[in-house]
Amino acid sequence: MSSTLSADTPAEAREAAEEFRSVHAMIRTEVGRMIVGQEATVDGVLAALFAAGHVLLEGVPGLGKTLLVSSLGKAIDLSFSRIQFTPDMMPADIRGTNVLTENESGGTSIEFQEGPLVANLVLADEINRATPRTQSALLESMQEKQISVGKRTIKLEDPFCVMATQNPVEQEGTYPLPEAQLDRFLFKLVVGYPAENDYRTILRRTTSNEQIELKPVSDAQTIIRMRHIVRAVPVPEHVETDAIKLVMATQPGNEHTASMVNDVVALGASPRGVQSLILAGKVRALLEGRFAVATEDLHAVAPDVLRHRVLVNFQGMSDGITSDDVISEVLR
Amino acid sequence: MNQQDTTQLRNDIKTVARNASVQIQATNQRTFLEQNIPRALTLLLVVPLAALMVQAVRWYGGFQAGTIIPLPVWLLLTCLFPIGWLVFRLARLQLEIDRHRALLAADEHLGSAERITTADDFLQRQQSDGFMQAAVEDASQWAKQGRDARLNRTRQEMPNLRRSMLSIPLTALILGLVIFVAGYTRALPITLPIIGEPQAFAMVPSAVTPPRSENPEPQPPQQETPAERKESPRDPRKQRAVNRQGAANAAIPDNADESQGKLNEGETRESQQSSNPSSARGAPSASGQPSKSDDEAKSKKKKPTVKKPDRDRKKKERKQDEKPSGATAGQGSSKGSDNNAAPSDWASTSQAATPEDENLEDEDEVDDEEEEQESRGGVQPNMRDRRTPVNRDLQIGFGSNRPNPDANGRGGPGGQKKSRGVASLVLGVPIPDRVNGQPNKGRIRITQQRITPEPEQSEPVPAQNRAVRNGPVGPIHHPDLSPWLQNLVRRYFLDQRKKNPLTNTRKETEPTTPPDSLQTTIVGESDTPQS
Repeated sequence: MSSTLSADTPAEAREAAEEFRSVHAMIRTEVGRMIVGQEATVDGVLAALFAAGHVLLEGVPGLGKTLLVSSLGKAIDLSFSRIQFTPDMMPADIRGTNVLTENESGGTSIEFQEGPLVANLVLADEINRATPRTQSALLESMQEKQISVGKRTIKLEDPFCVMATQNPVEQEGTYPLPEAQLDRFLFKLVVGYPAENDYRTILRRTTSNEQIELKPVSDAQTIIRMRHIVRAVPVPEHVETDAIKLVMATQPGNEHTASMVNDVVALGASPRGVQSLILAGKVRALLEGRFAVATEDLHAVAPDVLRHRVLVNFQGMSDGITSDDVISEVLR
Repeated sequence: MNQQDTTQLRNDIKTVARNASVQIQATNQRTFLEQNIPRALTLLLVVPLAALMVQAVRWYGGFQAGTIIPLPVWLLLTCLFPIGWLVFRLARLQLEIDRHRALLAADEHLGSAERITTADDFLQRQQSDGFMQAAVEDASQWAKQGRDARLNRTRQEMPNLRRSMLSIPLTALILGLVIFVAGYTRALPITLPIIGEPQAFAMVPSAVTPPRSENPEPQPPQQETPAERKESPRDPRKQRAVNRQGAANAAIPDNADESQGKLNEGETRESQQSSNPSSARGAPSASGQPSKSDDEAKSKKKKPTVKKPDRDRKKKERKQDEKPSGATAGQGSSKGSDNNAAPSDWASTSQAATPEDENLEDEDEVDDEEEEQESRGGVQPNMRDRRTPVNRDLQIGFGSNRPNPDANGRGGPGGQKKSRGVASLVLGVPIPDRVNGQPNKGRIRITQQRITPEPEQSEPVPAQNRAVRNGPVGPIHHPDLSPWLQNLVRRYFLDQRKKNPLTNTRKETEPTTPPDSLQTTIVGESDTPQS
């Protein structure tokens, strides 16, 4: 399967869209063998993967966040690495460092040893346990898809996707992610508790001798092609206008901003938020069987896209207002 | 999608937009009318109320009966005003629906996820790729469905029409009142020129005539000015007070009651309200000559009927009126003016009439005042001699640090009742601690002196003499290297020394590094080897 996309005719576009839906369904089904329930979370992770974005999974312990990402790494034939963030971790631990090695002729030389960040799919587990210094080591790789160590710059292979997890409950010994890094995540997905029926399935699968082995159903080339298909989806002018107004409405002091936002929001979404809205809207439009983005796509993905980009000020926090409340007000 | 299909789709989208626009306009108009008809019904009351106000002004102004505008015109205006308001608002309503908005409304009605609007956008673009063409094709079936679609706009909640319908009988009632008032004023014996329509007279029954017209001896109209008519005893309270006062006055003959109706109200009450009691017992013959004090007495009597918002203003006027009254009393009598009262706050607050007191003032109080004046022989207590009682407050005085000379615990205008006698000696009365002391050793004075700075000599300390760092210095990353790596590093630096003898000589002068410290020589991204 070629990773390039040729959709000059309506028939090719229909074929590409159908292919996208079929690949999405295959991966989703394979991951669903391991992950019980959490359909919205699985869809969000796949949407971030296809939209060439990164995703931050937030949820209390035991909900399967790490299992979801590791299952995704198994279902797609990608180089997968997992980084367990700890407070004593240094940037060199994840980016790599120069080490002294002995060559075959008996001589020695300094070589760069890659860190776990050099992979296609990176699971940054408990990312808020690392210090901001180490967290900031991800900034360049997430935005520029490259790593700079000394005078060396390493281009990361496409597709590159960081899937980070964090626990919102334990605040002891954790470091909240800086806004610059939060903005680089396409989605912030809040993982909730499973339903009652899902608990039964989880019990049967995890407390018996049943072993589930996931097999790869897709590969890197397919993912790259899916990303090309997503970017080929056109956006009507009125949808662009809606997306821009939606993001501007989260910025305090703006003409599109409601009074509630002016009162309780300290920091609104950035232009990166508009890009994320449109990209996520394109994925949703394809999954809904359409060939162009609609306003309803923007409204559907807006909470996941804007949740971590809207910073509520002290007054809002004291009133119990969350960023989700602000987004609901903006979408009204 | 060939050219014919594209043209067909363009026509379909055009039809959808036109139909949607027309339907949105109609819906907006219908919604507007539904929302505003109850308001227009309420506006029916405006013209009748205006007519009623005009008639009331004319009636109080002393004009003669009739209406300025003929009654049919009032009726016409009553109906035309709300209609005109509706037409005006409807004309200002934004009825032009743009194409984009109409297509969005059609999409919303059809549930097509903006496919028609998107196709309309893509058809207007110069270049289109496969996805755009697919989107246009996708919208063709929705556009066909939308050609004949009827938009069902959500109905907005209407205002309460039943409540607004009440304005119709209310309007009729007010109009009837206008007619009634117009006829009532017609019968007033006013000689001012009649401004009005003769039709209005015809609608008034002849039985509606004021009581004054039954007077067998009507007074000449030129003697009754509007100001005097205001003073006419329409208020029954005033009438009773006048009658009772006439009965209480022994100097007035019996036939004075009969003639009281002929007398002006102010003329009779003037003798009671005057500050000079002697004049109150004056002969009735004097009451027939109204003076300046007569007018003042009238204004005093009218004050209890004044409404609350005007009380303050009336109170000020009364204070101003009392001043010349005192002056008059000073001329006629040596005592008997309240202006001589001592200007103390307590006295003024206790003697000043509050608005509530004014409300309670009635004819009984008038009688009581008379009795008191008679028992004192008309002599008012000299308020100048009255002294403000001392304050009961027992505080010694924190602010000024001086005891209050009047704080003997007796009397005073305090809000709470204070203790007296033995009770005041109980320690329940707060007594401040009078023990003085200083929290520090006394006043500290700092004096700054300007001196010339003097250089100090210091011995340079060679770096070699510095002691070896020891003690806790925080966590230092010491990765444990495997033996082969230690050996590798050691051999690397030995090779480096051999290659660069200059470094060797410098190294020899330096203290030798123990082999164990080579563990830290693994270089990181920023720690390049110093060779």
